[in-house]
Amino acid sequence: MAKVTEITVWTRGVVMDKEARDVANAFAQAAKMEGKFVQAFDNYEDLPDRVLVTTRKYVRISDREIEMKYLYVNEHPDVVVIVEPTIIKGINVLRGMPEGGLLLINTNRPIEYMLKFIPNSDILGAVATVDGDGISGIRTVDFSGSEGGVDTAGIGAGIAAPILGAMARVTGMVKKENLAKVVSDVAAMERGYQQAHLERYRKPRTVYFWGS
Amino acid sequence: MKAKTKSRSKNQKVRVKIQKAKGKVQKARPSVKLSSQEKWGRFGSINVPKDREVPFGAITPAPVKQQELFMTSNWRIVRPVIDHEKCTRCFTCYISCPDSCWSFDEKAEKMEWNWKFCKGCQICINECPADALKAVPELDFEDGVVRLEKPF
Repeated sequence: MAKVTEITVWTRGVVMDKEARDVANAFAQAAKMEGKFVQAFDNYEDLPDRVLVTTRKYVRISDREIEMKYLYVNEHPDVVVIVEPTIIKGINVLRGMPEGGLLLINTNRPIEYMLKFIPNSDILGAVATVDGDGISGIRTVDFSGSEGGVDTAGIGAGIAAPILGAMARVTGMVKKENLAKVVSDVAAMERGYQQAHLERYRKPRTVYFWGS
Repeated sequence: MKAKTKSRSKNQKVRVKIQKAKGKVQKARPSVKLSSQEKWGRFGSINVPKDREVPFGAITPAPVKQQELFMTSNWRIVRPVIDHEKCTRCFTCYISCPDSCWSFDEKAEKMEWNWKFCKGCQICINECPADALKAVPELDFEDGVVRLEKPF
């Protein structure tokens, strides 16, 4: 079986649920346009219907057909995206990550300050930050139970757009042009692409490259 | 009724005879009285052997003041910070907090905040009549790190 790149997106239940789902779905869709095989799915494990609870969304990307279908968690994520930065204080987000993984945080704080809260950060290959709240600042807060599923804004309207742009740049797994076809807020995605900060520590793993 | 019980006991006797003939009679259980603690373990009314593995959170030790296994402080984005000079000790935060995170420290005569279970719902901040509470982003503080392996 070919190598499957696993991406885990951490977010908070209900209040930022839609953003993370957009990140997962749009990234997978853009990778699919490039002829890759993808899976993108929501969390079943963490009871995501509670306000503010930490939940996950998952993406799997591979060059060949993905055979792992019945496992609903990414146990060894190569890329971890954190949509709400406070999560690094409460959860061991690097659990299961192989050496040389990538961490992308949506924050305007410096990278050194964020790494203070991650004692096992020595396994990281690179860390990136993007100020999604500063660029877009729109969050879908919806208590109707639909979790942003019925709004008319479309995929990637809020803070998901700059995060997607930053992901495209730091992972190099999808092209910006393909992402622009999926995301509705293309200007915010473009700014996220350009304003992402990246710090490299090791040689990149073979499945993706950092910075284009 | 009497006839019925009689017939039942008769049946039982017959059954025992048959079993004796087959050599299947079991010994009666020793009638040792167990204390409720020994019988049920320390988990209240749920009888679970102590060596059995159960999922996380299926059983918790019976009433304690703080359940450390259910720390929910990683739900918090902002944290209420109290200004003790503005505080009038009206106990509105104590009454309004859904998780009982505010208590009164009688020695210091101050309101105490429990960082372990505060979920950052900001109800106390909205309810405070003296404006003594302020919402501060959790990342401004370096304490209050929980680092659970998994969410629950």
